[in-house]
Amino acid sequence: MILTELAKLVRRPRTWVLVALLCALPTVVAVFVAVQEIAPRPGTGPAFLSAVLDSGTLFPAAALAIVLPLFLPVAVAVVAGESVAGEAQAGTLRYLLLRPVGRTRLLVAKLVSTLAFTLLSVSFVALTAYAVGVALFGSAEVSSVSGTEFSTADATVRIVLTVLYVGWSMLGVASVALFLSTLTDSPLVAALGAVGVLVASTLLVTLEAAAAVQPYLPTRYWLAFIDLYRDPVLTRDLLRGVGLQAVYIGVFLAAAWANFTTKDVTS
Amino acid sequence: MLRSWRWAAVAAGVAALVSLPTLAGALPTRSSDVTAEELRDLVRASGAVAHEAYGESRVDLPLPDVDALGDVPELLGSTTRTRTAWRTPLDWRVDRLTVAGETDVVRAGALTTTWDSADRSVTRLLGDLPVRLPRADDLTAPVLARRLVATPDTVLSRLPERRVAGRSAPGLRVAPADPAQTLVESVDVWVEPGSGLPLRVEVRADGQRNPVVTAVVLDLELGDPGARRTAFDPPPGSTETTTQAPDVAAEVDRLVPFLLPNVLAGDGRADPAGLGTGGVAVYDRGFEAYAVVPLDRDLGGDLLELAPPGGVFATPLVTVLVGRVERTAYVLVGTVPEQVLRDALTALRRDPPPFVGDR
Repeated sequence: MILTELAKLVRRPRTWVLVALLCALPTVVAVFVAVQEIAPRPGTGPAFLSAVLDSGTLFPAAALAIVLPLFLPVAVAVVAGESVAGEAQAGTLRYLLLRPVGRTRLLVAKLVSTLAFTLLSVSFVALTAYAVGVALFGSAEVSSVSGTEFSTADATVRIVLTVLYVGWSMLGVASVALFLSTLTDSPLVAALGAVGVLVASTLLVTLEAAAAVQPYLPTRYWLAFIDLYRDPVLTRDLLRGVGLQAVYIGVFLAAAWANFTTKDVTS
Repeated sequence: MLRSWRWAAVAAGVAALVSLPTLAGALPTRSSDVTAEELRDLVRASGAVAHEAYGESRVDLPLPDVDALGDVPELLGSTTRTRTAWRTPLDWRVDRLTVAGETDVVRAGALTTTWDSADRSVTRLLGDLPVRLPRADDLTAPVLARRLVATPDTVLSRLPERRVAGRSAPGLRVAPADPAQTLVESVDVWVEPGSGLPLRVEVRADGQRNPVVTAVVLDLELGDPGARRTAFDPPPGSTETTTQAPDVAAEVDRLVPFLLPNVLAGDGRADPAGLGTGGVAVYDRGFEAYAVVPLDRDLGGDLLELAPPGGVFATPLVTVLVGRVERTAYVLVGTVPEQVLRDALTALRRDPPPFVGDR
């Protein structure tokens, strides 16, 4: 079942169109910055983008910061929101469940497929950004934001950890969308619902009056991956980010399971 | 039945998770019989306590956005995140953490080095300046508390314990002896009981419900962080400069050629004028403190244009008065009511400070 879902994911043109779009945006930004030789003023624009003119080694981090606020979560929400609701809308969910397949198993297969898309898209963004960054800006030695030098191995480890952290953060989005996908027969509604949650969270994170709830908002620690580039690594927000996403993932997957395994499937 | 069982399990899990922060916040404190005077002495001596800390400082002092003030309006109008590695008062590092970078201050003996990751610049300053603009390291709870607790003419009292940085911290209230002469209502400090390191500071202004300044240590590790944590070597490609005046306040103090009086409108000067004294004067009587700053033509012109009618920028804790004395623009700024600054400006106009030539 899991292999079937993974094969379906890989065979679908939509998967690769989304991945290509995600990779294209940072590439376009890199080309503009390289041609004009004008990076955003330090402290403005996406994280690390002001530093890429000196070295492209950290462009994967800048690329993830570019797609993280909107494009990446929307892509993940579209895929996760479609997972169950898409089958229902196409009228195939009933037939899927007629086979000797438990609902929990089907949900796990959909979850693994969504997880695979998330890791695939984040990894592709990082890999293409590294290639584009080194090609356009070179691979000079880089330093941490704390002013200490990074070896190539140091930088590589931190980029890999960034990919894992951003991927984990996107799983929180995926679990919300997957839960909504079990509630509705419309993939669009499920995806928009997840995006709505993220928009609300992003708004509340910037609102001082909402300070009491900010530590619990799903987007609160997304940009904490920047702390990987401090020396020593500041683990406080990273650990909180991992823990908070674990809670969202656990709660919404449990809710998706409780709903999907007990709902009346009519389509 | 099966349906309700599954949803009940999910609901129970959510309820357990949601209640965790409340339970953590409700951990009891341990009462302490330490006196206010003992706490004050502990705080004063806490500069020798080696530690590593992560903290946040929130200041609510809206200042006009003047280019010459650099990032000070942001520092005094928002929340600042800092990471401190402290070995001794002459060997420490405080990193101001921003979303995408850092501005770090590193102290090694008499040398203070500032690293700005945004423009990859390193600025060195030898020795301490009598006058400069505030930096993030001034706003960490331990540094701020040591400075405020040392204020003379105050009344001390104990506050109940409070959990800070996972510890039960006894509290100390420092209040002005003469509340009518200052905008400061109280300074509350909560202290790590074993070492005396201040963990939380709240500065309240007269009549304000919320503190105007809150500095808190959120994570604390006592002990020597090691020499590597406070060492700094400029990375390749950074620009390095050495300066005697890293900001506009230090520049004005160094260059403005007026000799301000030792006593102004009845207030004594904290640093009596003499050889080597700068152009800025601080008049200081406990929490009743204000600075008088003569400005050069450009900066003075900018500020006079920005100033509202009457020349007063009033915040709950700090009053700023801009006015002319003969042809020179002056800024008077302090934790005092407007009338105190007006009296001082009137005294300056009555007896203008003498011009003492280029410094």
